[in-house]
Amino acid sequence: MSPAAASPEVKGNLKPRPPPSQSPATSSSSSKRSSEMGATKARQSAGFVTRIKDFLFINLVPLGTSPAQIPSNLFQLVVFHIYHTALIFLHIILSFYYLFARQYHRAKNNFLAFLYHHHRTPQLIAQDIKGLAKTPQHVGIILNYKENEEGGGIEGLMEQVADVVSWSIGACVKTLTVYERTGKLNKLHEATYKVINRTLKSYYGETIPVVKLSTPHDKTVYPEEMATDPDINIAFISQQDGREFLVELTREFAYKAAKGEFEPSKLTVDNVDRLANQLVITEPELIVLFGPKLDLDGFPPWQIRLSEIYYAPYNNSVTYNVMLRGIRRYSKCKINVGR
Amino acid sequence: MAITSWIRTFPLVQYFIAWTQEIFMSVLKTGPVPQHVAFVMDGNRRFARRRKLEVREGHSAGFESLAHILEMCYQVGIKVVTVYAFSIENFKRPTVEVDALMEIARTKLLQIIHHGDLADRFGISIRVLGQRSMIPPDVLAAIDKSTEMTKRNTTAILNICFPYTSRDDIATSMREIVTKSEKHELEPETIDERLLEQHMFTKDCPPLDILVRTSGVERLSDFMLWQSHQNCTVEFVNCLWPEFEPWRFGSILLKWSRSKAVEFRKMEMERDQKQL
Repeated sequence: MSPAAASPEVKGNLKPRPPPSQSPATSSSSSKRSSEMGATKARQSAGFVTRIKDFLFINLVPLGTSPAQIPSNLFQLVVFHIYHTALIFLHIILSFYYLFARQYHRAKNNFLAFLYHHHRTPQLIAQDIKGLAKTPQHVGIILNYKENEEGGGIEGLMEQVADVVSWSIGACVKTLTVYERTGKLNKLHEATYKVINRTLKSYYGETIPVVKLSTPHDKTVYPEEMATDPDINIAFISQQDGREFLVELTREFAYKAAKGEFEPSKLTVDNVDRLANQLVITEPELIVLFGPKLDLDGFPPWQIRLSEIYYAPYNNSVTYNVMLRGIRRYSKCKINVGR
Repeated sequence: MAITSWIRTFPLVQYFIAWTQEIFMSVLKTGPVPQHVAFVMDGNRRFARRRKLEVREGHSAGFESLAHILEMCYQVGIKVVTVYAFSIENFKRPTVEVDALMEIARTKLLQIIHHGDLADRFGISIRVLGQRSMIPPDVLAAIDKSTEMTKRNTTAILNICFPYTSRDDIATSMREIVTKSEKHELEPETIDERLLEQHMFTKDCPPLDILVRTSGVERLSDFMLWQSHQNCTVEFVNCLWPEFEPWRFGSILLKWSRSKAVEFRKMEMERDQKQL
């Protein structure tokens, strides 16, 4: 308000101004050329030193090192690199271990595939699961879409689903949830249905089990009208049924609450659970991963509370023996909520 | 087992083990280090049963194991450690055991903050995540005391989930947001994943990098569901929690460090290709 209060502001504004207004004048004058040459030399040598410093302390420090660990002086730098070399050495040893472990697990998978094969006969599958203490009613599987590979693409995904459906019916599974992160199969019910029925024919002959496909997110069902109850329900879900579903649910209730139509205290675990079961899927008892490592890949978080998670290390294909081993693991597990 | 414990009685062996661990951790430190690690400390009771001890002693052995792991986290520079101490479902256990667990929680909390012990040594600030309303008053007093006394420590955070379930965490977060919307404190359009995360118990923590569950159970059991279902390494370890020895945790850290280093190398190569 008063000039005294305004003056520091003006000063602050003025201070940085002079250098740019002066610099063009000095650089344009030819009289200072010789001194300029010296300055550039100095600048170059300084650049050389800083470049070496940058190289030593920035470029040589690997990406992903936490900021607190980046060395600040030469001694620390030497120690850092001695330790880091040791770390790289350990990583290499681990890589060799992985190499052997992969061979071992591949051999094991092949042997088990030879030992347990469905031979496209449901009786054999029934025999494999006979005598298990319990079998899952609801199984979730996580599939990975592979683009440029043999057995990949959309057709490959459909074939995989059809195979798993055939095995699941043999293992008395009532509900199968197929998770594929990007939701490639969500809108392809008709084509998938055809592939499933073709595969089922090769297992069951002429009278094939009845299947029903659904995509909870789009609220679509195929076939829309059925004469009998289906032998198996197949739900296709993707990443948008996970966190996004919970976010949308919150948003919906927030709109209602803003209008005064909803009491926030009604938003309990039980109520959210009921909605998640109705609008997406119920909780699978077993989730089988067909990937090489344990990666849930964004499977709906709400529904994996007590699900037994099974994966075969280093396996990279959708095979019967992985599914069977998953079901066997499930039959042995003991779930006691809280106890 | 017997041989290793016999070897450990030799002089200097303990010292040598501690020294090796320290060197190993300094080596790990020079690579990528996880920021947030969570543990389901499963198997204390089975451990007690196997060794014909009392349940209480099993839980005490579990606490010793936790102290070791915290030491390692401190050495390698992990910022946040979250442990599953007590589930809301655990209230279903026999009252005697619930009372015993509460008593252990109270004494151990006071022990952690005891001068010169764990919290001070590793600069840990303690937080208790979960439904406070379900905690008995004497335990609640111990919790408040420990959080108050350690809140100036900044090296690391120890989150004790007590009594906690992940579904409760998610539902509570949703409820808080809807309540705010009811009071017109926020616009419903602005609700997204980040906002939900900001209302969860783990709001101030970096994203979860590793989740370890011991005792060979391959389930999440309502722990960190939201945090672990993507971009997180889940490890199911086939040993009981009191037997979860430093080398097991060390190997998990090394595996994680390698996979991250490989990821970074790929990123670097892609960047170089773009520059070319």
